[in-house]
Amino acid sequence: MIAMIEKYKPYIKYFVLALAIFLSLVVTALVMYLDLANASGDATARLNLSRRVVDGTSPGFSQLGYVWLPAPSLVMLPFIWIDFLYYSGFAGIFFSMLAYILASWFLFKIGETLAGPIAGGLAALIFMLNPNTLYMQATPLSEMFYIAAMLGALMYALLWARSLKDIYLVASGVAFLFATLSRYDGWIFAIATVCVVALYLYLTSRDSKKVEATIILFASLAFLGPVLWLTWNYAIFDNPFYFAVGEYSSKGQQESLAAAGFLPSRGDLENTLAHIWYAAQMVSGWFLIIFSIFRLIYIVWQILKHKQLRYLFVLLIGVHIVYYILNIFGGNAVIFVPQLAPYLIFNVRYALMFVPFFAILVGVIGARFQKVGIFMLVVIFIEYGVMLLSNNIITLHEAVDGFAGAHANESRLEAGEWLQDNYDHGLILVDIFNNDAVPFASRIPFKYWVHVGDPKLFGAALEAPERAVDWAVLREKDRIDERFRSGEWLASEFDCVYSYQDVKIYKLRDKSQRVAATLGCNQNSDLTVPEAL
Amino acid sequence: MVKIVKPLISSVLDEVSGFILALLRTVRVWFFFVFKFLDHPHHSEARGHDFDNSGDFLFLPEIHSAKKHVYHETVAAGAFVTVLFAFFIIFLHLALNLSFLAILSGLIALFYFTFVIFKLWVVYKGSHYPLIDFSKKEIAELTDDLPFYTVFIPLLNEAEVIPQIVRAMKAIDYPKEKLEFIITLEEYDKATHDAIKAINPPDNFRVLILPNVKPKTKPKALNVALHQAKGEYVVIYDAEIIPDADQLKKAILAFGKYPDVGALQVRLDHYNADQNILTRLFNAEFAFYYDLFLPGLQKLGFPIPLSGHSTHFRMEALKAIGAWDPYNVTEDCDIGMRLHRKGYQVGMLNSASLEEATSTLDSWIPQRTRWMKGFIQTSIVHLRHPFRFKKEIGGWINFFAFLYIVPGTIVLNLLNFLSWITQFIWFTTEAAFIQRLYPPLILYFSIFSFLVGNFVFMYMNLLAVYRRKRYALLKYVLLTPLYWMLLAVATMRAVLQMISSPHTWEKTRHGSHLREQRVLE
Repeated sequence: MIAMIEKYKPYIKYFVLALAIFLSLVVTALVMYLDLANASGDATARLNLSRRVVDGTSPGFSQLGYVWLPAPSLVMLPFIWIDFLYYSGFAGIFFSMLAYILASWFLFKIGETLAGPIAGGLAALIFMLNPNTLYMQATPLSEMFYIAAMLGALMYALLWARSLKDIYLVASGVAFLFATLSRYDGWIFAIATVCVVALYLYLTSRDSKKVEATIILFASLAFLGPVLWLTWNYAIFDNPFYFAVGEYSSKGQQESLAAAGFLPSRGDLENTLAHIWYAAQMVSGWFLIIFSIFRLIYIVWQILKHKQLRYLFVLLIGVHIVYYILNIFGGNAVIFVPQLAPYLIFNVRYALMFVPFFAILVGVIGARFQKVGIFMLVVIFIEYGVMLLSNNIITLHEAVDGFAGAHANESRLEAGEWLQDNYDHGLILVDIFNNDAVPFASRIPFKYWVHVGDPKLFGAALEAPERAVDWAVLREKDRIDERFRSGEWLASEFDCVYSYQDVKIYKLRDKSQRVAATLGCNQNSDLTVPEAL
Repeated sequence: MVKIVKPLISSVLDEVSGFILALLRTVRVWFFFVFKFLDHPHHSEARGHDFDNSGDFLFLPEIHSAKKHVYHETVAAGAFVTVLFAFFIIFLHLALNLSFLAILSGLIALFYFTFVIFKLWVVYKGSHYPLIDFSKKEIAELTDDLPFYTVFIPLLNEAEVIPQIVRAMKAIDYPKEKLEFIITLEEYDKATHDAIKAINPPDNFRVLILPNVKPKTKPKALNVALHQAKGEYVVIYDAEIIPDADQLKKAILAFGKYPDVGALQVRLDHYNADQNILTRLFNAEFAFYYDLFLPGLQKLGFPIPLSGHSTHFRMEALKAIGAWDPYNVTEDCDIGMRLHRKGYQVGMLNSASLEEATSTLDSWIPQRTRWMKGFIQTSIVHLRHPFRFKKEIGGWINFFAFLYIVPGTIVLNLLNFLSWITQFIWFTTEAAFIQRLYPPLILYFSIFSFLVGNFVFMYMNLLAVYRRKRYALLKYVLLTPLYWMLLAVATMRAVLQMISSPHTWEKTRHGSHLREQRVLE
């Protein structure tokens, strides 16, 4: 078998590419057929975020402010305005698929650069065939987009380390622009990479002026994304850190969870590490992690003893593990795993960032010790098979049964479907950040929804809803519910026409009260009394 | 009856045909009155190049010179473009229901965006393009009968740098018997003449005192010197230049290897780049221009605005295009365009000439004003007959490339000026009228073009400086936007000078690096 692998070594790259494309197409088709692509609440939220740029009472790029970084939403724009692509999720799935293929390719190149095409092939296979990776690439979420950008940045940084050609550093910087504008993990990864580049160059050249210049050249691109985002936040909200401290930020979300007793990891290192461990194990599998740990020890030894500095770049992806440990410990992020209190599933998909790290570690050692490599690969693939056959794809579980999954969203989905059948006219007030599933399921265009994305109209609706909107959607403890005291204040002008679990829908009794157009609250001067669907 | 009718019919036909011809002539006259830019050749081209003109040493037909700026052609072309543009704006106003000013904002943003794309494309091509180069072995083997080379050194008030220039010229590796140096001096420049005498240069140095005729410009001096030149090849070195010693030999090899090349451009660098922030930013600008941008232009076959010194010419090519325009204050840019129009290639030679970067604002601003003024002059001259120019320059793509390279640079600098003023007013007053200029889509596009565009231009400077291994300079390149503000001021000044004193040559003072050295000593 080893001889056969050696014989076909030059063709490994084509095999990787072909397999990535094949798997992406087949799995995505299956996932979409089973209607699982948009199962998770965050999936519909991502699609909605992009859609609101082109559809709404105040469409525009200012809709991309708030919390989530804009790149995954921006790339969807060419497709998101097409209803079929939006509602099916394919407007976002397409880019996840592309990212999956690119990520596989980049992983191959990273492995090849470190230890030859067999290492690259192994690393790419381990990543590609992971059931969680396969599911996530069939969703419109941002993880795959980020992984591709992150691996692209790493690949070019590694090529730079090998050749010291500035063009690779520039390419890495460009990849970082995408990475830092898709997830905040990218910011830490950028900082770590800049440090490694500086260290690597200093240790190889001992020229501090050159190091300084190289860092300026690299960092000015690598950190351009964060600078643009801070500037954007300042321009929209007068606060460059609004994304971190604003009402809908992660910090705000964690405070709500803490208040409900759902933040056990904050300040508890042991609990944090346990959550990370379980999440990593569920996403990557036991054996992949165990084999990676052995390789990690070997790499550290190679760096320290043999000064194989290029392996510093491999360690970079491990920064994501450190990032999540710090974030969860600090209470800025949360992961729930079914093994630990509160025994829920939430954000376990973050552990997908660790898969490329483990894949490279195992791929490289597998290429060096080929019989061991084959053994490890077989074991890992058996574990993947077990995951698949025992229906233990945790990211899929999260999407369906998780804390923010389809079942948790059931009341909102039902409400949306009810609206689809019963909506006849008018503007609908909603707290969009907690109820993305409602407009998505209702199929009512965003130009009929009044939400925080149009602050003037939203503010007016909160002040005098009978003059601004025809409908109001309340979910327990969301902003509208709290404003109107669970509908108590609406009762004088609105009828409760729907109630299911924690969601209520109110409809304006007397339409003559509605004078939204005369308030001049929105920029769309054509928006008077919207036509019925 | 036939005898009466036939002549009658004939006379009627004659009358009618005469009337039609007269009408057509009148229509033609009026057509070419309105569309004068379509009417060429110009009458001044009838006698071709006049190398015997010792009045103002303008050898070119006047229509190809900046001697006079406003021709009927210029007015007609300008009016035509303005009317076309106005119709376009009205069309957009009706189609998009936006105000005229908002449309203009959008078009400005589009211009920025396309300028960024153009530069990125050129730089991309240039970064893969090797310059013409020769090995030390090939240069050493060049011992056969070398052709005669003339070096022009046009000087004015350069007494301070005479020792440096003579030293640099003596260091040139070329047979002395095949090399002549012609130093041109104005009659009244006694100080420089005395400095030359004091240093007692070798025999192949010759001082040529210029006739007291206007215009008092460097290209006029070069045209005067042209008559005296014996060389088959010519190069110009300014007062403060230190060229690579093997530059002439490399040029000979290049001219021999590439018969289509009429001129060779070398890379320019500064020996005083570290003097202060201004010189550092100046050097960054040149690094981008000569290492990334010009090679890209050459790779793409676009016309190249040459530098005013260290450009090597075949004498026959120089004469074929009528030598320099004494009235153009950037005769280098103009000559680059005329070479291209006449079908000559320009090669980028991998050799360097070091010059002095102007280190004070009171030198930099006038120098840069002159360059921008020259770009305006060059644009006016070459766009007198735009369709003819398009044909001669090599088609629409080259035509638009010229628009970006020469007039586009002026427009960009002026728009930068306008943008910064607008932003300043907005951030200080949040005036509503500025908000109306930028409806949402145009606002986003403008912000994107401005921010991304400025970043891209600055980054290209960073990359160019890095490639030159000027590592200590890199952090200063981050101050490039300040440099552009100065450029915008200089361009505004140039526009005003085009009205008040279009042919004034604000002489750059050299030697500040020497003065600084003496102070330190």
